[in-house]
Amino acid sequence: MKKFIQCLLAISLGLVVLTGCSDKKHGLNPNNPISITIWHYYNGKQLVAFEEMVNQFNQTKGKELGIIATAKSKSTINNLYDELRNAANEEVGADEMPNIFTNYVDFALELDKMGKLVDLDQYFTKKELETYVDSFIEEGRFDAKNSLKVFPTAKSTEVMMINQTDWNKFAEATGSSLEELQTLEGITACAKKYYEYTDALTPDIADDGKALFGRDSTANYILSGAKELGEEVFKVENGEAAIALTKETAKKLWDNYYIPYINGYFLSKGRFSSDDAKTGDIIVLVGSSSSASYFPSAVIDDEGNSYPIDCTVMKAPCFKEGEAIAIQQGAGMSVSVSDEAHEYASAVFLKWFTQEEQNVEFSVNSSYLPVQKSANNFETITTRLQDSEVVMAPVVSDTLKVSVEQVNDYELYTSKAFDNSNDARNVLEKSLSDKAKADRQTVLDSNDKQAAISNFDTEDHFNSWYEGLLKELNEIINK
Amino acid sequence: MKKSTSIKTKLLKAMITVVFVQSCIYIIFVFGSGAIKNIETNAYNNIAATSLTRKNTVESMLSRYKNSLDTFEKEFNKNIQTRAKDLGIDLMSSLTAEQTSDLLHPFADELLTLTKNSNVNGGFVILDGNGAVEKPALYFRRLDISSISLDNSDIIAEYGLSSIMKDYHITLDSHWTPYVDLNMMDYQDFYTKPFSVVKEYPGLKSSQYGYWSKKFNLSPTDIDIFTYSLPLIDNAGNVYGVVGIEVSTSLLAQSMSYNDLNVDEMGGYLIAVNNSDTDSQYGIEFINSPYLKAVLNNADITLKMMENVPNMANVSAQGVDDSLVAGVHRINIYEKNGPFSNDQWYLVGVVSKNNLLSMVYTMDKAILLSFVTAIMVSVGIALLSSSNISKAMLRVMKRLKESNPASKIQLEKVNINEIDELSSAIEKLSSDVAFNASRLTKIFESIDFPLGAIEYKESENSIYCSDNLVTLLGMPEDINLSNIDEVAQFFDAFSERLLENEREENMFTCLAPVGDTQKWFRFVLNEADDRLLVIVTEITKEKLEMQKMAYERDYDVLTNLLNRRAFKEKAMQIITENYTVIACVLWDLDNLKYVNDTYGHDFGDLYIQQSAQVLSTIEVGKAIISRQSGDEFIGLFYGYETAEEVLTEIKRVHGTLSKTRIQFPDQSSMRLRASAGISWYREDAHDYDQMIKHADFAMYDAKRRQKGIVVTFNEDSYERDKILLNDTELLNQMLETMAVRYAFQPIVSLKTGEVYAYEGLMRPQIPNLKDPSDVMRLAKSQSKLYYIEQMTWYRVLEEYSAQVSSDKPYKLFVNSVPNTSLSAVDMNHIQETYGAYLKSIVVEMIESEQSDLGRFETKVDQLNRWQAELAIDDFGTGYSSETTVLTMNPAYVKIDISLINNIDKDKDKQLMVKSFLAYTKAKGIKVIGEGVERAEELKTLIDLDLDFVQGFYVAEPDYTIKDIDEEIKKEILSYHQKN
Repeated sequence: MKKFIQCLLAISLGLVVLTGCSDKKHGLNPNNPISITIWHYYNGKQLVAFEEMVNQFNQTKGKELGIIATAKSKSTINNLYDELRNAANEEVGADEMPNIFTNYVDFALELDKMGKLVDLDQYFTKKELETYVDSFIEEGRFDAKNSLKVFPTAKSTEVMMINQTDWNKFAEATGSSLEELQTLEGITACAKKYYEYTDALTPDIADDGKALFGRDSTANYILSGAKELGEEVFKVENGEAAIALTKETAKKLWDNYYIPYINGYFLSKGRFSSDDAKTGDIIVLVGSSSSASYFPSAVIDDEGNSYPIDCTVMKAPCFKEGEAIAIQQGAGMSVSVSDEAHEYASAVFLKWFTQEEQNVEFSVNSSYLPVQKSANNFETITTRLQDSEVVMAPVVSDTLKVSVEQVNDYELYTSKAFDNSNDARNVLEKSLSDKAKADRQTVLDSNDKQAAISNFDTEDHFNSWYEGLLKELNEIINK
Repeated sequence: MKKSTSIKTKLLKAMITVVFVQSCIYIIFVFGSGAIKNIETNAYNNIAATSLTRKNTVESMLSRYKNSLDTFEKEFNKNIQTRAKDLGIDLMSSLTAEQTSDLLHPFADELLTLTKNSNVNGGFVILDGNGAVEKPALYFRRLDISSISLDNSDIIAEYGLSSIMKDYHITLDSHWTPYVDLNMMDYQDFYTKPFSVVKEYPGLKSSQYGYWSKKFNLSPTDIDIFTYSLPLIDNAGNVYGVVGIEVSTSLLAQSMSYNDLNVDEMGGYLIAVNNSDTDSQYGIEFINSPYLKAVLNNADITLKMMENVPNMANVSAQGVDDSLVAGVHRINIYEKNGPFSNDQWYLVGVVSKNNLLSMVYTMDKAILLSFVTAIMVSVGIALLSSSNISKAMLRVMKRLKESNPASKIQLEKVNINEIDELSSAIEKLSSDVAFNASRLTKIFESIDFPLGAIEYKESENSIYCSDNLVTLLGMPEDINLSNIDEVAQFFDAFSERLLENEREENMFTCLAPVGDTQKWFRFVLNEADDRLLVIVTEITKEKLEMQKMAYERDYDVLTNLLNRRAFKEKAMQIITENYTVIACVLWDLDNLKYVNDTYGHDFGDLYIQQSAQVLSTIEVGKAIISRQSGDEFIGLFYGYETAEEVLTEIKRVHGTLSKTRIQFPDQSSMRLRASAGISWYREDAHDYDQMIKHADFAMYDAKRRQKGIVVTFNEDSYERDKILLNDTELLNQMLETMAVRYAFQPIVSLKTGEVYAYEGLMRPQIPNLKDPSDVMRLAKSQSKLYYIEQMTWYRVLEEYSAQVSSDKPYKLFVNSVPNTSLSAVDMNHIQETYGAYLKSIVVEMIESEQSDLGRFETKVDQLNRWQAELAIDDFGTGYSSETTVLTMNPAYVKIDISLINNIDKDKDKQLMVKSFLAYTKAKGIKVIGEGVERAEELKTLIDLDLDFVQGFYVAEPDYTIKDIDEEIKKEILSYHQKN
């Protein structure tokens, strides 16, 4: 009789196993996986690196828990924003909101107002969050409740990259040293020297000197430059921004960008300064650490002539009298509001993606900075890499090393987000550089270049730019 | 033996068997009908159809791309030839940088337009430059085809002069170079195949040379792409370059959304390439589904077409465990019989078999589930109904167990016929049993023996009590004897009322008040299994008798003091306990013999009782007192702190004794008096016997020294005298060897001066035991007086007869032990041996304390038989007095030495003797003066007209019997003459 009952019990237990295993933790089931979509704007190397990470996830953690991640590149940040906006507003023909998307704080602010962002604190323990670089996490806490809405995944800072091969030629001839590049004033002075040096290389052609320096983002230049001098362009309090850029500071920024630019000492010809470095138009640039992989290994001219170059990476230059400030940028990732399973699965992905192993691998392949404290250490990175098959290009390796040092040595600065801060940033991006480009073109087109330059290098000209900038910014802020 | 099973089990087994058989039949019909198989086939057909639709979508997309490029090529080919002509550039030659820039700059816009308008990721133009390594090119890429930015910020230049790119504000990809160098690529087919195919298949339309590349990338770190490319053929038919479009895998993926497969994530589409119709091995070009990517891991797959479902195949690949099936359709990317029509592309819609057939599996499961559920439900029902029946039976059983077997049982009806009939059968049986039981009880009661019984069953918590318990234990009249609570309540109260109780093993004895009296009960407990049987008997009578017996056993009837045995028992216990001071006191009443003799034994008893009363005043609990024998009392003092306290108490007792008087009928009274000896336990003795012995010794010492005093044991004097007191060996030795001789002292007639008789005096021949009185005391204490008597007779007569012939006229005085008579055997022996001497024997006797009249008479009878005479010894001492003479009626009286001593100087003694002589003369009793040691005494005695004398002055005792000195004879006679 006892055996008989045991037999019955076994049958009924088997039933429970047959029917009852679908409801696991947070609704995940390896036998019946759910799909999460990720939207990003990575291109080129970063796109490849990210797709590789997603594949890895699907084959490991995702397979184990029943999560399938699909990544989609939206190419540019603006495209991404537009599509997200359409999806969030449920416009006709718009896709559904992705579960995860790369996101900047300024845009997050907008989506959060629509109630689209998940508070990630509920999926991460305090201990887990402590393993991330504090300022990265803090940046993602922008709402009134201070909840985590943007999770740091791929951060970058600005570093200075030098075409060492061509620099050496110049340095040998003029006795210049790399130390001169440590300050913005030094770069301005050195750029003049370089222009004169290159001009002299072809004595038969007048005014054919070359630019030494270019930078990817003038917005970053203005924001960090002002901060170095103790000011903030935008003073943000409780989400309300005010323009705090003084004339004095603006002048200093003007003198160290606009003036050398119209003189031909600085140049921004290609879409990115690395493009200009690639064609030999400049030999020093300040750009995002994440663009390290775009820094050329050879200079190629349109004749097809090319020669290999070495690259030296230095910390971003600052004003001589200013504080050591470096721009901290790069997007994090946000999770959109959906159901528990998808939100949880998204958090699982983010957690996995930012674990030291994956974090280092992605950092090295994408040139983004690691977000884990433990990974923000060059030794950790190299040790990690020894175990993996990833081969790091020297320029990426150097960039990473310098960036990590910079993260540890500099004050990292990001202008706080506010309504339309992205538009305001675009104004900063264009205002000075467009004017410089246009005026330089005027200079190039004029017969008397020196006269043309003197025409622009006036207090009035500066004032009109400055007033114009303030007006434009104020319009955006008060929109 | 067949195992017995419960109703529950039987019902269960039956019902489950039924359900099981039913289920089996059901399963056989469902699975056997092939319905399930049909569902499966339908599912496969579905996938095949869905895959077909998808294939068509992909196919049409690809053909759209193809058409776009065809159109572009026509226009471009025309325009570039015109521009080359204008610029004077020969397209079939190698070009300088400047020529390249001039030639291609305007076409950048056209190429960008193609890229943007035809929804492809990129477009390129590569000029051969007459086989130059670095081929002039324009190659744009736009990753996100969904949006168009006006400032070209979404365009990346893969190849092309930087001057052109910077003009168009197009960024340079990281592997950008101004020219295309095919040698730097791993894959060149996208250029070489269409370029070279023209020569192989001349005369075709340009669009018919179109070539779809395999998946490849421009540099190892670049994205995966497919391209469709056409050769650029100038009007002369020379190929001078290639134009193409780029489709990234992610773009392809967008058109291959696998949601239509309806398998959640467990499936997807892939593009596979196979170069022959017979090979079932397919190379994977592209997979859009992460699931498949993870499962297949880029391995080649084998497609085994199903026989019964067209376009469906089982998918297998190395290292793949999941069972996969797929809909397989060829994508027509080329026109038939074209140059590349051997490249066969397939769209394969792969799904996990488990997922696809989950419906079928769910049905399988559901059938199984219904089967199991049916079993469970039937088990449940069987359990329920059978437990109802068994519950009903259990109820009846419980009632049955609880019910009093002695009374009639009433069982409830459960409305199940069989059980109810069983119940009534039991009821009938029980009523019969109850009747018999009550009969038994009546018999029980009629025996009239105070006996009752209680039975308790623990498992049922039931109790049975015999009816007579009510009267026996005095239970309340209205008690319900089968109600365990009431009975328990009674016994709780009962046990609290107990006056005395005692428990030993399974017997419990107690004294309890019943009504106005107290009764003893005995409860005998019998435990067996879970049944406790208690037999109750009233044992009051038995108990009282036992108590009386115990008292009589332990107490002296006359004095109510402890007797010797009980005393010893208690004393032995006391000395083992830890008292500071323990003293043993032995009292010996003085003068008891005198009282006995003078006033009779009743007064003797009174004397003892009064003394006992005084001793009883010693505080109980501090001492125990006992009467040892006649006039001996013993006490053990233990409850005192110091020896002084004990002594004080003893003195107090002595004081009280001496103040207490016993009143005699003759109006005289006498003080009580006792001599006492004390020994201290531990100090003087280490065990009971020693303690008693030492106390005895001390008492004896007291008596010896002065009667009525208390003497504490003294070690020294004991050491000195102990042998005399105790040494049995000495006495035995003496008795066994009869180591005693007799000295004979002449008794001389004061009339004639001649020897009248000889007294035999005992002279023990054992060292340390020379004194005859010691012998006597030892013999007395060891109850060996008889042997002394026996020895005396044998030895005296032996020695006397050896020296004196029987015809001599002398009398022989023999000291006989009082209260001891020779046995008949000894009497006869002596009579036979010394018959001739017997008539001359005079037996000397003293009156002892324990004189026994009966014994005395026996002795006198013997003497009469022998014609022997009797003499009273020691007359004038406490032992022998006038009364003795009266009672014993002797022939001789010997006046004690104490009276003879100095009689010549003491008129009182003379007067006393004179008056006594007056009595003896009248009675014809001869008087002998003992211990005459001086001539004056002798003379006085002669003057007093005594009959005989004995003493050193006259003659010393001697072993040799001889006559006295002639001088003495003369002296005696001389006194007569003087008178």
